[in-house]
Amino acid sequence: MSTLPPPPGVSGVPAAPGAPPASLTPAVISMPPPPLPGQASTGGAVLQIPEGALVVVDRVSKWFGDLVAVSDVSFAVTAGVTALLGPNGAGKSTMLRMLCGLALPSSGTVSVMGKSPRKDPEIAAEIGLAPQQESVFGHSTALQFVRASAELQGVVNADTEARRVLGLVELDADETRRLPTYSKGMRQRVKLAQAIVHEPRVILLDEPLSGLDPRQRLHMVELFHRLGDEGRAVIVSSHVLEEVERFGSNVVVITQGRLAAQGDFREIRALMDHRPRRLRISSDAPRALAAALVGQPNVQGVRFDGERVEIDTDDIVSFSQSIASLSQAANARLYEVEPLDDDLESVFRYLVGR
Amino acid sequence: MTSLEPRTPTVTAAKSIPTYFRLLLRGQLTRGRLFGLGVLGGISFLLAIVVRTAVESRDLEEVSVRLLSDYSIGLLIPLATLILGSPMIGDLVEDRLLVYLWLKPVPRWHLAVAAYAAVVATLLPVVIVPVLLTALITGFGPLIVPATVASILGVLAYSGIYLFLGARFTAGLWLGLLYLVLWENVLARFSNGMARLSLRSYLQTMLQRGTDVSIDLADRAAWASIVIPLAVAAFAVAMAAVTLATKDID
Repeated sequence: MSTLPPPPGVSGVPAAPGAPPASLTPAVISMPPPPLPGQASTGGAVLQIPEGALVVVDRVSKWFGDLVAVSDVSFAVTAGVTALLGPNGAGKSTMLRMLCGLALPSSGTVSVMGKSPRKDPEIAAEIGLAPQQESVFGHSTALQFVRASAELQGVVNADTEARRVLGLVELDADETRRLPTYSKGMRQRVKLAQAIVHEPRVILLDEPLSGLDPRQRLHMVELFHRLGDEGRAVIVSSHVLEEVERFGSNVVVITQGRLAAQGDFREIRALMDHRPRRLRISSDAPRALAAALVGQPNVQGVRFDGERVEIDTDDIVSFSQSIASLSQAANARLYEVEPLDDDLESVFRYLVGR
Repeated sequence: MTSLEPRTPTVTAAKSIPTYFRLLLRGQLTRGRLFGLGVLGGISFLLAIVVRTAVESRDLEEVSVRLLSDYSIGLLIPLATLILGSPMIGDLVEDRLLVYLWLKPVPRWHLAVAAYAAVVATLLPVVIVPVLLTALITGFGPLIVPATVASILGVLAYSGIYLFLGARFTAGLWLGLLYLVLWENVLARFSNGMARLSLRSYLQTMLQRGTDVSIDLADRAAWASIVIPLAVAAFAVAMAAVTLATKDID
């Protein structure tokens, strides 16, 4: 099990000369094979810790019996909004649980502001978590729930602060209804309120926009950015690519428990857009169309099953521009051009396999 | 906001435990559980009236002692503590609510102690009132003090055991029931040696101090009948705290 020194700037350790800038390194990290249960991770990518990192994850793995949920993942997070992107079951929630100490890594280390969230309970004062589960304390009102959270966090004016954050998430603090009667969107906002009532430096939000209407989503995203601009690390998990686009530039992509990519969202988006694609083309003259497609510079492969044509292309843009004239030249009428790998899973598989 | 030094707020036990206590009681004291506790207490009351009216006076003392020993100590106390003790933390785990109480800058024992206090505070009146009524209705004054002390010790010890089982195991309720039925009421009744590992034996020893009626396997030392239940309670609550500190929270 590897250990890291405290992040530069923590406990008076100065940043090393030539250390990366505060923003995350926009690099796709190549990952070593996952360690087997019982083995410590060895080798792999060397984690460079940016100055001012609030969260450092170093070669973290988590397994449950034979199931490897997270495998040898390393990344660091500074202030601002960071999206944790991955399909359902990718290991995002397990990672978030380890980030706040709810689960102990099977190997590797997690540190929040230089401390272990598992072994140092006091660091919970700097962590706020809005978990994914919808369950809330059944016999409490929103104010009672958030106020209790504030009290347990040592907030001096617990009632005042609870009312303030409920206002931030656009909920009425004087609402007398119990939490179970709240809509899913309202519960999401109550969970967010209890996560930020103590003004933590690290805020972990597990799929926080699910159940919110478009206006509330917009408001929440603005709030996340405001919290990030205040110097907090806001880590938001999501499996929706378009949602993540709104969170900001920093993205950590996890799929099948492994780190697929980390860095600037625009670069990762470009990778995704320029990946090889597979298309199915329906036409009234598929044989002629297939023959015309063979040998085109932007077509890597052509398959013909007697009815439809499937092609592989590494330049979807130029192919889209040329397919109409090609089919016209082949005297083929186009019915449909259907992408076969446009789902998020395919995108993630591509990122992992690069 | 530039400092990377984490804040370390002081949340004392005097502040956190009452908050935990309030939240836990509000969440776990459901109508169904209150009904179950009420039924157990009501049965005790009814049995006492039946004994008082149906049993001849020469047999009254022995039947009353048996009622307190077999129903109150053997069933009412362990079942009532099982109904509330096992789910006090166990339900939070099952409902995935524990995260809201766990992720706080306080030592884990605060939560364990608060949960224990919530169970005990609820159960003491629920258990002691029926036991006192049983002793009063059946008319044996000398039984009142030892029966009350045995009840308190029983609530303290069983609450700790079931709280720990609920916190540690997903099937804490069923393990608790298995322990109660199989160990306390069957295996531990086989021999004096096995009874030494049975809480019931120590509680019955305490009860026997108020009567000349002999209770089977209730011949523990007087000091042990007080110290052992208290030690079991303290150990179980400590184990619940260790579980909260070491177990993965969902």
